[in-house]
Amino acid sequence: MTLSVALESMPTDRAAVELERVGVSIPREGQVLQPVRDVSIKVARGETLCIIGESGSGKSLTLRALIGLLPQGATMSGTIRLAGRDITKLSADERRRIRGARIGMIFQEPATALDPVYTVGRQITETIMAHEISSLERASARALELLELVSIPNAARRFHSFPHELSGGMRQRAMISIALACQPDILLADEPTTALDATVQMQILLLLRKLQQLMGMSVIFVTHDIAVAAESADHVAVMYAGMIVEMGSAEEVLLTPKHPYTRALLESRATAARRGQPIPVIPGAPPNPGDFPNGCGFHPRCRFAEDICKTSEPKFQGIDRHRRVRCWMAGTAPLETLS
Amino acid sequence: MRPGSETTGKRSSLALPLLEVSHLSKAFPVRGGLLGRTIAHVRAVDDVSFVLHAGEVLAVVGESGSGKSTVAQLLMHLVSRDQGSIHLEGASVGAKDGITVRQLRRSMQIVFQDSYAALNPRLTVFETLVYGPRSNGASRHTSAMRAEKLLDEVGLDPARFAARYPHELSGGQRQRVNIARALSLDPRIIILDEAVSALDKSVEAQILNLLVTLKRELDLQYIFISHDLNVVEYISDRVMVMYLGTVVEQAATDAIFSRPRHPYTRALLTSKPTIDPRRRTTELPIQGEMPNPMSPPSGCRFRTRCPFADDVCAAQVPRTITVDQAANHQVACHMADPLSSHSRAAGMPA
Amino acid sequence: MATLDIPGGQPDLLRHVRRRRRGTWRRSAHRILHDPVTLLAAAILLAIFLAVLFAPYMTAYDPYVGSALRRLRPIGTPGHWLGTDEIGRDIYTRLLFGGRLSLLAGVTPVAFALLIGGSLGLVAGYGGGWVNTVIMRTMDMFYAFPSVLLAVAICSIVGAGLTNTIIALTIVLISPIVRLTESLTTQIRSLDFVLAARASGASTVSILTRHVLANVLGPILVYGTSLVGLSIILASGLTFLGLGVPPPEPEWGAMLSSLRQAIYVAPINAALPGAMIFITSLCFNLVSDGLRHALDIRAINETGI
Repeated sequence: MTLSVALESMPTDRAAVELERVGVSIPREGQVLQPVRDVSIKVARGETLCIIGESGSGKSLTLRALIGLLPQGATMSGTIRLAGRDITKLSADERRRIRGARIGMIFQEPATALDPVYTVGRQITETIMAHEISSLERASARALELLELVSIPNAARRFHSFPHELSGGMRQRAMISIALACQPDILLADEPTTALDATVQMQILLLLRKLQQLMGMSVIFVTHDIAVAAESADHVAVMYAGMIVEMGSAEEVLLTPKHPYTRALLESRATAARRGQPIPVIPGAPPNPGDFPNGCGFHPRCRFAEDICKTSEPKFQGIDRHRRVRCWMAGTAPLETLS
Repeated sequence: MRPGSETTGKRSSLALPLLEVSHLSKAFPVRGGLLGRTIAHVRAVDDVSFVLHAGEVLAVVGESGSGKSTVAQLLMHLVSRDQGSIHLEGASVGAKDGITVRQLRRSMQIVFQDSYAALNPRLTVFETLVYGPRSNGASRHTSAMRAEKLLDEVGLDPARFAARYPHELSGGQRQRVNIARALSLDPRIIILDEAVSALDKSVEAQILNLLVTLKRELDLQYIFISHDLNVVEYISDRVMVMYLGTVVEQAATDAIFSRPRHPYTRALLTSKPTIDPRRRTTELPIQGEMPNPMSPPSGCRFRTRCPFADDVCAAQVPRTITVDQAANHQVACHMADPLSSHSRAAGMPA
Repeated sequence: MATLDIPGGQPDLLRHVRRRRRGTWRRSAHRILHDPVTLLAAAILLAIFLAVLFAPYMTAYDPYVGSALRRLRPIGTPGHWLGTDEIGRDIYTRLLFGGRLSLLAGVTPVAFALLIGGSLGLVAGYGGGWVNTVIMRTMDMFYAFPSVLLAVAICSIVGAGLTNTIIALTIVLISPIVRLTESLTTQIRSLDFVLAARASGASTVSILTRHVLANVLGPILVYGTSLVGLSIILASGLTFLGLGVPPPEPEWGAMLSSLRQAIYVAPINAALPGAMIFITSLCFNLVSDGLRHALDIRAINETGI
């Protein structure tokens, strides 16, 4: 296929995936909602980026814009580049071919993401045959290899199991093997461990880490759990009200946050140290796409908000090489005095 | 006052417990075949015993399939128990000389995880809140006044929220309504079944603060079911760890977190992801997954995943041993039982 | 404890809530009134109802009296704007009077079936266990038969005539209603808010009426309305087969049957009763759709309309 060849021949020092000023608009009952606005990110080969956000932040829609699976009626603006090549200009058919072959995706709810009427082996085989190998035998053998790769015990037997016969953790592993079936360059993961138990969650996170190293993929992980980000990410982007408000390396963002929202989010966790005292909370709740405030999306809940925050959207400013913050108050005295 | 017993979890059992649960068991029949005959049983809860003292928050920790939600349903008598007894303030529930289920429900209420499913979509918040008191004989006037007061207590302005429908509320607001509804019958104990698990982290913090405030102001006790160990460590006085329907360990909170004795508890604590990106988990804390509850392993149910499993673990169900009287720390493990034939029965590795 | 700060105190709150509830119903009505398709269908139904109700005043002819001289006159004949049938009776008049019987045979069985079937379904769904098994397996027996065959079978046991038609159709319609009600009740019963209601010490009756019924009623009513059309067709079918209303009663199905031979000679006349059946049942279905849309409580409150 000419497309894959074209992508393969791109120099490898380019970012594996790049989003430039991506936005998503959805018309709803007369209004036009913008659940994703001005998102720019770069992920290098072999790196993991975690997008942290709560409901309404637009993090899941950003992933779907990347893979091209937006809901009905939604439109995307901005540019998406895979290994330097702009994929937003491609036809729907070409994008479909990229999906699965170059980009893989795993979802939150493994029970609903797998087709209940086909065995898991069949589902993996189907994906392989749709993109790469056309021989059923070879594709099945490959599928079996993948099941073993994701550490499913008794892989040969599980090949013929239906999704409902598997536990949550195994279904998630099956879904990962479908996503990896064609050795994609990029793996997208939408809250893959949220529905899993604590012990299984850790297993899956470690598995993903191992697979990433093995296959040299780039991973973009969406989560609302900071701990998951701490365990998995090289870089972290924090989203709020449709925009990225802070971005940097995992250590920088999680240990020395610069944006008031990131700070507040990190502080509002229940920990043993806080026992007996109230947890510092962010008053109010995250806004829905229809009610994003003017100016900075976070200003109604921010204790550093000034007049300018209420009227103008802050620009994404670089602090140093990798670090960016979207805040008028970043770098100013009141924020700096907080440790 | 005994020395060193600052936290209520360490109170001696001389004080009469508020709630005492003994040898609670429940098995659900699995129907199959042509006429729906019972072909197997799922032993969802097996010989569970614990106590709740006044002023305490007892956390029940476990993964899915551990039976913790079934325990909640058994306590509320939404499901009938096969064996065991439940005593509220010394009176046995369901016994002739004890109290009725109806009376129990005046003292104990429950808040569910799914805040949306827990509310009748066709009723306004106000109507949901007055339903409980009205069903128990309160007048229209009294119920209405109570509803208004409750909304205030949970932080929702009655003027703005009383006439709303569930789908017009955010997740956090709905959960506040659920808490208000649980409070509407003036209970002493509230069971929170993963009540904050489905909320955004920032909203979760708000609800936790609310729960702590309410506990203090209204003199409540909580049974807090959760899988989030951070929250458990923050809010609870005692912790009970469940695995596949059995209690594997229970103790005062700091005893569980700093001196866990059961291999499963240790694995759970190690599975907690770190918040510091410099100190990532590198080893798998535990292998495999929970076995099928329809055919649990013989003897100790955890043995199939336990790195210390010995022959005796398959042969006998471990006894519950009290390893620390002061903290009321109990473990169900052969390694803690000096009388068992386990090779490590002398003492656990640190 | 927190003090109450509501201006005016507690009576205001109740009034506020009551106003909101009324508002919700009012908005339901508003939605129907602004749905052109449903309104048109409802208007047509109303017109038909009124026309057949006041049938004697709407026509000068006797539906039973014919004239050999005026057989099978086409539409537009002066004095008979819809023509005459094979015995010379005015078709318009017969349609009017026949409408009484057809509508009766259409609406009554549905009403009874809703009452009986709805109750059975509620009990089966909420009770579970052997109660459920007994009720549902009995219903399965009835459900296994195609409706027409079942109606025919029952009529051949109980005999022909209007009353027996209504009985037969009621029995036929009970089983799908029970199935739907039971399915909905079973779903609702395991929802957390029903558990919470049980936990608050409410009686079973109270839970059934306040929580279960309220959520089940909407879809059941909508389904029932859509069954009226079917019932009319079944009644006409029974009459067509000679099992319903006997001649010379002017029921629409009977008219179809007797005009059958005229289909090559005066096809339009022969089609008229069929057209009435079609229009009536179509309008019932459209109203049923409109009702379902209007009763959707989420849509009402979200759009604010």
